[in-house]
Amino acid sequence: MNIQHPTSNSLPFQHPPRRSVLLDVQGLTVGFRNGRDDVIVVRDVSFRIREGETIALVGESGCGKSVTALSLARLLPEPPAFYPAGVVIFRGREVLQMSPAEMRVIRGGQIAYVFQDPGTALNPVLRIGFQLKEAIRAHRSRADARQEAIRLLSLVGLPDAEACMRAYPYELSGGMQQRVVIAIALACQPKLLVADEPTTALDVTIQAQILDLLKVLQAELGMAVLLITHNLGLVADVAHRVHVMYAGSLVESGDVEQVLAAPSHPYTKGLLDTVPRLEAQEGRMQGIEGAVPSPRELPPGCPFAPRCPQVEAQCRKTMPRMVASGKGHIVRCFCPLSEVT
Amino acid sequence: MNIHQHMDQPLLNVQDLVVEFPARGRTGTLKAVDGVSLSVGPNEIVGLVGESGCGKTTTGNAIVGLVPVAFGSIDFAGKRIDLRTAAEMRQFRRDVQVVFQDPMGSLNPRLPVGDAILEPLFVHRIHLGLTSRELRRIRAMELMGLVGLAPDFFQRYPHELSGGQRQRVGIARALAVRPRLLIADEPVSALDVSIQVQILNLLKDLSLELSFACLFIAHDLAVVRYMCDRTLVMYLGEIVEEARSDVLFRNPSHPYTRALLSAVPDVDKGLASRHGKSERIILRGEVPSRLDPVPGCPFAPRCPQAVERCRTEKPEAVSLGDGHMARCHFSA
Repeated sequence: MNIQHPTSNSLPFQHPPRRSVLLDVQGLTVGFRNGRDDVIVVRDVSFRIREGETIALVGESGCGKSVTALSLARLLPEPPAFYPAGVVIFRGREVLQMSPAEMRVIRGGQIAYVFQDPGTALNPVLRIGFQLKEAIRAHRSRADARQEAIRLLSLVGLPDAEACMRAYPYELSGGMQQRVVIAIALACQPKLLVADEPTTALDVTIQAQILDLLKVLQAELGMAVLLITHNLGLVADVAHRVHVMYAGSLVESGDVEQVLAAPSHPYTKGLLDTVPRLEAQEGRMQGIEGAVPSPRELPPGCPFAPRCPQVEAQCRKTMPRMVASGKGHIVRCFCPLSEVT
Repeated sequence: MNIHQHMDQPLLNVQDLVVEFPARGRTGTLKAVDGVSLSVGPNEIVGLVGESGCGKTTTGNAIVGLVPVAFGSIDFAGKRIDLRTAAEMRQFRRDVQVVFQDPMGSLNPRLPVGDAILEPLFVHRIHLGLTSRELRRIRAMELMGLVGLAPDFFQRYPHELSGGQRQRVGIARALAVRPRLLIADEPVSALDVSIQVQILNLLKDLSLELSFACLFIAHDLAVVRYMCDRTLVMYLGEIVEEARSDVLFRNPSHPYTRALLSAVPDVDKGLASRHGKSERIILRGEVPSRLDPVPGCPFAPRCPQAVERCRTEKPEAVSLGDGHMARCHFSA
């Protein structure tokens, strides 16, 4: 496979082919056990990922997006983590019921992860080559692991793959480290790549390179990507569908164009209004008053009610259900914003 | 906005600033800041943007004397600042206050909010008429009110506060000695987006209300666009472009500024790109090491339009009128 990095223009946005469902998450609820005290941090989260599709999960820190992502391959230590409700069906099989041996096949083999900080994802005392071969050997043939490792390093656009094999992580820049982490994630040709803030620790010009790389690789390898981010600009750039999370619950889901151009949930709108834009927007930006509630002190009704500009009496008492707001567009709000706004 | 005003008499005027660090494991030095000139007018908010390692933080630190200056001059309010004279230094450090990126790292974990806010007054041995404990308490409350902290935070410790609240304490503390210039070094990059705007608006409002100027150091171009009257773009220790923010963002001249702008993920651009070809400029390669400086333009190795001349001859600053400057052979 020949990866040419476009020097002037990146890959155009690609609409996904309509394929079968790869991952189906229904009513996922995740809690942490802390002594006698249980805290539920993710509540009743449902979404689907089709093959080859890019899904974004957005929200602010502490909203539960990383916990949701980690529970897909059950990477949270159990205990303290536990799953009081919900199912995660990956390629027709229920992940939350799998045995440890079955889980080992899934982890890294079919669902791979790329985390935010490549510096902590790599082992500082082992050479890149060793770490890459380790991943290949865990799931695939042992014989040609070295050959395969070199191929992967060139695939992710590292210039001198042989030299890179011998390098230690500290000898590489942050952008190069993240390329190595992506190479390790791709080592077993995963069906689903979970990228948790993959470019947040990187500079913008390097971020653009890494995103372009992910787009090219996705088109070549046909894998699905779950992108976890707080950056709505990134979502607009790469994702097909987006799920907005707030205080452990999904509050809005839909096609990126619908959700970002005409948000239905007041939180999504608030989030969009707080993002500074490059295009001149004169006047003052409005923040969202207050702060995200802690999972221990969630209000009884809608978790966004205390900060919502259009809160009504029932919002403070009952948690709203997801209702349709358009084609494939759902929102958890009693009084969703109309599309004309 | 203030461009003409500051031309008359800049509050801060830095000329040819050079900061060098000893190169680890080698002989010679590394030029972290390489001949930076900048000025900030009274009440002006000036943005200094660039990627990590470009020298923007070192520039800010050098201005307040946190790192030694190898060469160059710093004038403040028309007076040359000699960073070696202790008395002048104290006055200068009172006039120029810094707000840092990580409010947890810049606050003493054992000092309650009220004491943290009042600490600069003791450091600078200024009373501001605050002779009694009660008067000082009132002043601290007043500052807390300015930055939007409820009075019951007075006795709380930094670990009890959220990131946004800590940054409010950092700002209150900086404002306690009534500075004329605030150097804000990535003040919102550690905060969530919904909190970012609260802090940005707070800084904007306070700069008008208390009339201080601000050197706003950040890597987020959209944030700088929102905050700053003028913007300076730094690359590898040099300022490569400078203009009024509306001009710079609408009509960038330096290829690095253009690449930087196009690399920023932006909701409007992202949605537009779904209906047509993406116009993103993807740079090749990484920021080169400053231990092996290139002879010509520092951006030449990554520049999509570099020619032979760029690799051999260092470009001079080209004036494009109305305070717009770019350091590129092709900018004229």
